[in-house]
Amino acid sequence: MTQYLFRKLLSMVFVLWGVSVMVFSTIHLLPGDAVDYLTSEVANPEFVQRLRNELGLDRPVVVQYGVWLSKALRGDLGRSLTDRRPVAAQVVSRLKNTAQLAVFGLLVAGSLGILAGVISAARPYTAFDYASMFFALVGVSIPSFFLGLLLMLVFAVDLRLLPAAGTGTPLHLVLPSLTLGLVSAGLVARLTRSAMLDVVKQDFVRTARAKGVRDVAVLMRHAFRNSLLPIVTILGLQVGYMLGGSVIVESVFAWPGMGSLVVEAAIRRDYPTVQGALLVYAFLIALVNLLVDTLYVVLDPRVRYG
Amino acid sequence: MGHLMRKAFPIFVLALLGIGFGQADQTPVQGGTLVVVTGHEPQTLDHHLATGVYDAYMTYMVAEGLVTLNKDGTISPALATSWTQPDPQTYDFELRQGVTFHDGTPFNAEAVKFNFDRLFDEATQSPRASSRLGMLESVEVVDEYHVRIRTKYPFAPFLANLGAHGITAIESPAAMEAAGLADYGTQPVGTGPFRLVEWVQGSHLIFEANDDYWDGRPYLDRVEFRIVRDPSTRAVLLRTGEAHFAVEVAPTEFESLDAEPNITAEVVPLENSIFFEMSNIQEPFDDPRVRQAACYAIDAPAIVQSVLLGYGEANPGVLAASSWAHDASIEGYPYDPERARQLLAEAGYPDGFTTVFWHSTGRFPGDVQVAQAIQAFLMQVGIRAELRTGDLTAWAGAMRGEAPDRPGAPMYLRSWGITGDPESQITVLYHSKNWGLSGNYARYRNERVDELLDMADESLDQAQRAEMYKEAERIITEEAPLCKLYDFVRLVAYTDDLHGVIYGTSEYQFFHKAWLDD
Repeated sequence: MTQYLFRKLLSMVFVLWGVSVMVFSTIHLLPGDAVDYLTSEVANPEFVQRLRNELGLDRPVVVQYGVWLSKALRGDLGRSLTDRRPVAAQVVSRLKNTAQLAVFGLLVAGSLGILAGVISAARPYTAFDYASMFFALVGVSIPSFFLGLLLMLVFAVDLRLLPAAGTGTPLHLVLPSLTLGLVSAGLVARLTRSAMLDVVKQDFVRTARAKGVRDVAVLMRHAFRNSLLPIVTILGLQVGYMLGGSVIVESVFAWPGMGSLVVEAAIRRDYPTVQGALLVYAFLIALVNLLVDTLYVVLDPRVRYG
Repeated sequence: MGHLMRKAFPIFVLALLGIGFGQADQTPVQGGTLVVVTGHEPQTLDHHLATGVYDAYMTYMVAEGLVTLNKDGTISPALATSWTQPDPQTYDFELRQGVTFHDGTPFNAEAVKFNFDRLFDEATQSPRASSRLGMLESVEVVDEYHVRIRTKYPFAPFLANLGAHGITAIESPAAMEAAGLADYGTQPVGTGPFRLVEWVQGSHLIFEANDDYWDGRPYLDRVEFRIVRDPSTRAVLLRTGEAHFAVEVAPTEFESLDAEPNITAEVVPLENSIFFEMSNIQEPFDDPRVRQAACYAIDAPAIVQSVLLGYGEANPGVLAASSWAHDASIEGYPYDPERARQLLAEAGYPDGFTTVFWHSTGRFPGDVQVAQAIQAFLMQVGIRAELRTGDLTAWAGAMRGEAPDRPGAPMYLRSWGITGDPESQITVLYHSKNWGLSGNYARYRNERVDELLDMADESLDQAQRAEMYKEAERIITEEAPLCKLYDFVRLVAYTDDLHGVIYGTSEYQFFHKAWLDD
């Protein structure tokens, strides 16, 4: 197991390096650079030349990458090309917001999705099952900006129960994490239901029932525990979605997270910020994957990593 | 259009009188926090590094220049109490005494000099110093409260430029030195009505009243700007009462916001123009008949009605209708597809041609839809324009081209606002000294226009200058390096408990005389 973890961590280093190369070359393929942005109205040509030189943007891409990498290896993600702020500090402050949203979103997705899925599987083809699977389908299909606005209109404009958008109090977290969570909850519910239904048909469940184990215990201790593997997998994938795909929710709820940082930095061709933020994304997603892999061992004693 | 004028006219008059909205006879109330929602966050509040109007309008919360430019083009005192002009290239300013920066250090002539020195220091790399203030020759300290500023050549718009650009604000030398170039942008220290107390990037900026402001402490205790990118969300925040003032309201939200009992939506005229330009040195647009044909092909009033829902002012003049140099007699190119086809045939393109049309996304409301409408109109006369969509950076690069003689896009949608003086538009865009990369991206050259624009720079008589600009406008319109579409307006909305906001030039607004009902 230790050896396995070690190997995984080592491969993570290569993944991150690969990501950094890909991101670096991709953003340099975009037309224009930060100097075009800074001087987007007017500037005299000499100044444009001088600024490009000063920021190192006139050097070959490979050289620029080398400079970036050697600094990054020493833990220095550099400063933004357009507002001159340190990238690391910006990423950290945005990451805190994104993490809050992701954690609560995951909580909503996990609790609601698993609950609905388990009950549906326990009482398949009943009114509850049809209703919850219908809403799950709606949740999966509804665009998050639309769901967000809908929740905002109901809870903030009509009922005046919650703040509509922005940050500041814990209440501000409710609508965006609900929006983010509900979309994932649909997926989790449908998956939980089908995983459970697969397990419920198996012999050991029948055996447990035959032994006279109570219904709830059969369901939770026997069936649910054995369906956890796919559920954990999908939850792990949802973390990735919540970290990266939350940009629309962030925009609707004026939530200052990582998604909007990356999008705006990309528009400004602020290479160090894009690069730094995406590297952190990649690291987090790799970490979550590792966590999911490790959880398999805990959840299913048959899984062994040699 | 009638609708627009009905909405816009009263506010325009109020703005001319220097009065904001709300009843002037009401007694202002002290205290309270004003919440403003905006879709744009400043990049930096280091006024010397500012790149856009959104940087500048936050700069004007905390700082000010020697003079203020009012919406009607008049100049009023700010940090300078008076000035004289002993010769056309020299300005002597008398400075306001007893003013301190927010950090307690005194404002004086040395501070003024320090700011201009830093602005032009190569190490600062101010993106706008040379383009906006390139005519500045020297700043001399005469004594503690007198400075003398000289320009390289007689330049009539100089005072307007001092009043209109955030880069000319005077901020605390001590604070700038302490923070250094890299970090000053998040902690500006000026003499203005408000101090910046918190800026959480991507989220909000909080300003607090400056108790010692020379023009009287602001009525408001705090002003909070929340960055809300989504226009629908900005509207929701007004409805729920979480915000008082929303800028950049979407045209689709305007009516319904105005219908709310406690919200007023308003149209604020701007000196901004929306137009497209064609590269004067690239085939087929090097033939003026082709450019004129493109202009005849477009029904600009229809675009205003259908795309902007009427929130814009179709105007064929080069300069915005609210400018004192605007020539209202210019008819431009009224929609006439038949004439367009005829001109194309005369120019040797009876079957039209194919070209590339660049436009931005999100640079101004509706830019994508306006570009699509233009494409459709051009298609009807046989000009097949392939749309190229760029974000701000890609579009700016494409417009400009790589070098003066290597133009970029043959055709591109562009927006431009007068910042202060008409010179900041017409000269920057169509004088041949700015040919190529410095603003004249269309690579337009006309000796008479150059001559008129130069004379207008030097003349100190506004009536004379207006005549020169008008003649230049007529020539430019005739030769059509651009097709002017419409003047852009700002849509704002606010809750009825807010009073006394003053609209400045560009997209500035000032809150030091604003107050909220209890």
